[in-house]
Amino acid sequence: MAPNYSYQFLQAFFNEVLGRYAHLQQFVERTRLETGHTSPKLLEVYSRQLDASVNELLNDAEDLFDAQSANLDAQGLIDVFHQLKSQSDKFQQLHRTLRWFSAPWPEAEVFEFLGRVLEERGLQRDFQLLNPSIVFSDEYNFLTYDVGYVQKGISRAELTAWALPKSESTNPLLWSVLVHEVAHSYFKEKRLLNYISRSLSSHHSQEELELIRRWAVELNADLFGFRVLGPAYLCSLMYLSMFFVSANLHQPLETRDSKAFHPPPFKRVELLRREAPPNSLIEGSFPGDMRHALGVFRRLFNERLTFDNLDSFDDSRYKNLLLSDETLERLWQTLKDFQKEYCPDLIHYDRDFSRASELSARLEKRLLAGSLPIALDRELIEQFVAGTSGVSREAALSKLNERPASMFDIMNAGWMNKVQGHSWRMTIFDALRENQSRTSYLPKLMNSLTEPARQLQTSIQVALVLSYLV
Amino acid sequence: MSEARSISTYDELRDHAATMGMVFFGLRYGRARSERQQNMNIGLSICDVITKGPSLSEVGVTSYEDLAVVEAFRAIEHHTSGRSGDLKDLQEDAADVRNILEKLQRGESVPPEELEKSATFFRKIYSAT
Repeated sequence: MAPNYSYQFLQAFFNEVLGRYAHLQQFVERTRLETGHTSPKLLEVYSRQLDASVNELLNDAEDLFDAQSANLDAQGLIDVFHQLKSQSDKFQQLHRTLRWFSAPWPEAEVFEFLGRVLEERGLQRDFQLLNPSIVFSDEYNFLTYDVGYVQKGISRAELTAWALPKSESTNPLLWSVLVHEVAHSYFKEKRLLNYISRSLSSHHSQEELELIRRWAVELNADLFGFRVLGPAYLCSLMYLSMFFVSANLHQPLETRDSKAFHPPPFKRVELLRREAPPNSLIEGSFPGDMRHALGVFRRLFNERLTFDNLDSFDDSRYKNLLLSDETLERLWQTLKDFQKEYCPDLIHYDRDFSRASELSARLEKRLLAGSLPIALDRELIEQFVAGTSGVSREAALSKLNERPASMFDIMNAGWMNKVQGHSWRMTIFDALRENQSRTSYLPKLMNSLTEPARQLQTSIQVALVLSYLV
Repeated sequence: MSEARSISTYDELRDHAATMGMVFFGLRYGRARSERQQNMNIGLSICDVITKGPSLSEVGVTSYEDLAVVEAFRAIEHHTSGRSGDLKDLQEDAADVRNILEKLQRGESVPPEELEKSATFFRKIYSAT
């Protein structure tokens, strides 16, 4: 029999890479709709490329399923792991090709999401002052772009843009990563560095100071994300690390300009995991299902680390790009102190997660992106979304006899639900559709994307694979 | 020179090595599928890089196909620099792996230890960084 732990991780990995392709297909389809009746050849060829990649992935998935009862050794599973990382890299290359597609601006919904999340933490005014643009990124990454100085009278702050990968435009669970990007604009770097300078224990070389600066900025943004979104942020960080990072998770990650390195994903996740209850930055306690969800994710993350450990990793190459444990500990404590001073009024979690827990149970088959809770009256919800209800949000909610869920509740419910295996990269559009099972979602999506003869085959294949996966 | 694939960078080499790793996983544990035979050309191209690369580097090339082989060889040489034993091991195994791939391409049966040997060869190329 296959080692159970790593087999489950590989299944989850397949699931996620497939999901990524599905969302990319969805974005391409939106672009195609905008072109009207005549799709440019580029779109057609690109779609065929995506189809080919999905088919290759499905063939690989079949091999993995067939092997379930075989006497697999760890080395055999590493071959599957390598192939998945390779497919994941290929996805990122394909994603970069989107630069040739004219792209829409992200919907106001993304901005609304961020605005509400920060409003709930008492940072509404700060968010309004930042008021940056949100743009779609061709690179599969969540970034803060500094477009740069253009002319006098325009400050750099006005030219900051937060970027969301195009393929994640309809995947609200990953919008939580944007809170990390908000931190890069919200915290003044100079003030952060001045604060940190006070805690430096000894003389450091120029290279070490640069490394500390780089790690401080990133870890500070992680800490902020966790304080704002709680476990939902931790889940998104673990998720991106284990399914999107090709490099060994113990290795510092090169930034896109290759001029600097981010802290290794393993360290980033470890620092935040330590802050979960009972030693928590978060007040209150997690309900059983939240603890269970984090436990599942932690196990998957550890499985990914197991694969990384089996792969050779030459840490001497990164010797000068890693902070010592002692320096890192001191830096982390300093960042916590800094945030207490910088944003002391950041509202703490004064709830017990019961609302998130309750929502999670109801999110069995769909995820709601907006603030509207899953409705008892679906007709009213649809009217509300279509703008034809003639009632305000509050009035709609009162009709539904529910108190509004906060964005914090919704995001945590979404992750809890996903991690427990109830959802499969659902999109905001699915939330508003009629009941549909996980296995019917992707085939329907595929049906709308590919030419008729092929679509049926692909749909059936995808449905079969998903029925194995879930 | 196998004609199916031209490889000239380490990224391409690594990508193809991952594909071959998965092919051998399927051969060892998956259901029989005829299209796997088509994948053998990818593996043969990788073997060409390892076996022909050094001599072509020395004598010079007369075609763009050979130039791609030399470039790919230099790329893996660069990635294994400081660990010369890694490349030497690969060179020792490449000829055997080539024979195994050719047998598979002809549809002949191959014992499990040869399948494992081939999988290990491609795994090493993937992990050469």
